[in-house]
Amino acid sequence: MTTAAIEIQNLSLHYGRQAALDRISAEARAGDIIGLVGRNGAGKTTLLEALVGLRLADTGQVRVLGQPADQLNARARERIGLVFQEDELFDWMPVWRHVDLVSGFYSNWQEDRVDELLRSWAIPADKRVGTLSRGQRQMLAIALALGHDPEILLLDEPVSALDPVARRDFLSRLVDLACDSARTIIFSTHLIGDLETITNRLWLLSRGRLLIDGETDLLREHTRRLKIQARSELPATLGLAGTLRERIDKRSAEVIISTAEQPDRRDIEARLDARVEIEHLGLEALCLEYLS
Amino acid sequence: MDLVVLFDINPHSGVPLYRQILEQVRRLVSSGQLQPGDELPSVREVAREHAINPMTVSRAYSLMEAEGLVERQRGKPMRIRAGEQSADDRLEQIEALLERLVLAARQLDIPDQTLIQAVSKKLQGPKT
Repeated sequence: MTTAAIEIQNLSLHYGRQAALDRISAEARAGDIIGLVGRNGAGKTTLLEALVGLRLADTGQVRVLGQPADQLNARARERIGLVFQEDELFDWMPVWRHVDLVSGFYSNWQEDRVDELLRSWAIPADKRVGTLSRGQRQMLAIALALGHDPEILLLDEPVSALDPVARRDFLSRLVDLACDSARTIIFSTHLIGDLETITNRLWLLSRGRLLIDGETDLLREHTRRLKIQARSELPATLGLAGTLRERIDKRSAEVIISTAEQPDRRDIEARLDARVEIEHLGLEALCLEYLS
Repeated sequence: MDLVVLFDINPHSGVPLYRQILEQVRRLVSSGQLQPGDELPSVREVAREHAINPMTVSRAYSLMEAEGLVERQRGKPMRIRAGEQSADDRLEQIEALLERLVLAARQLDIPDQTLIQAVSKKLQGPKT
């Protein structure tokens, strides 16, 4: 499949004079599991909302399944699943009744799948939604979002209230879904460790701008930390190829670089008259480098 | 041998996951634990077992195929190809270990010559 499931072109969106999203362009394809990270207020939720037409762009456009995001027809909507932070569940309804209610909106509802999820996550069908724990409530919202077997799944911090076991189970489910058929899954999280294995792409937002849009494997491969210990005082800047950040303190320095080619340690050592250690950065360390 | 479980994937190591899978298969092949004709688990099996993105596993498998390590069979799992690896290929597999050794030696301020002597001595010792 060559067409993108989601295409974002030069999307900007303001709250008053504040840019919540600033000229974002990106694509999500079938098969992508994208981790969306950023600090609070970076624009993650706004971006997810804009992808389904819940926020309107000031400039630029979003196309989902070939249609403008703010004009999705019913058929396109049936192919999308959403879990947002503020769920829209009714507190007074028993779980089973809620499932029943939501199932009525979809022609392709998979009752067995939802029952199986609720059972395996031990969510009591007879309990009222308002009496569920935060974690159970989040799981119910996830189960409901999966009920119509969506091709596109947008999840805004879906695991924030889950305990580690439930989280691990949820992440395995996502991989299962991705193995079933080529779907597009975008989920935001602060738990970057969760992204290490299951995502193939990373979107990193900072103050409304998309700082990183890349394949997680390549990001890992290309980003390195150099620890430098020189015999004499280092210059104010080391000028290493692909430098993202450098901290220099007299004779020692720490430099984060991102390059496709492996840096030549001996060459750097000779040039700076220094000892150099080079290590790969994990995804979490990499995100922290960009976010801090 | 159950390869699905045998793969040891460390998500936090900083080494790309596809490379971890690739290197492990290479090692198992050169040590003879995987023989020509042995079949690899499917992309889905590996993805499910380790909760890894299937595209990542798929990339590892494609690279192995490009390297001539494995071959695709129509409608069947990938299998290990027959064929000798060159000395260079085998050396490349311990590149990361060498890097670590050199790094540790430098951190301990061991002169290069001393390290080389120590390695030579090891090499002359009893074969393990």
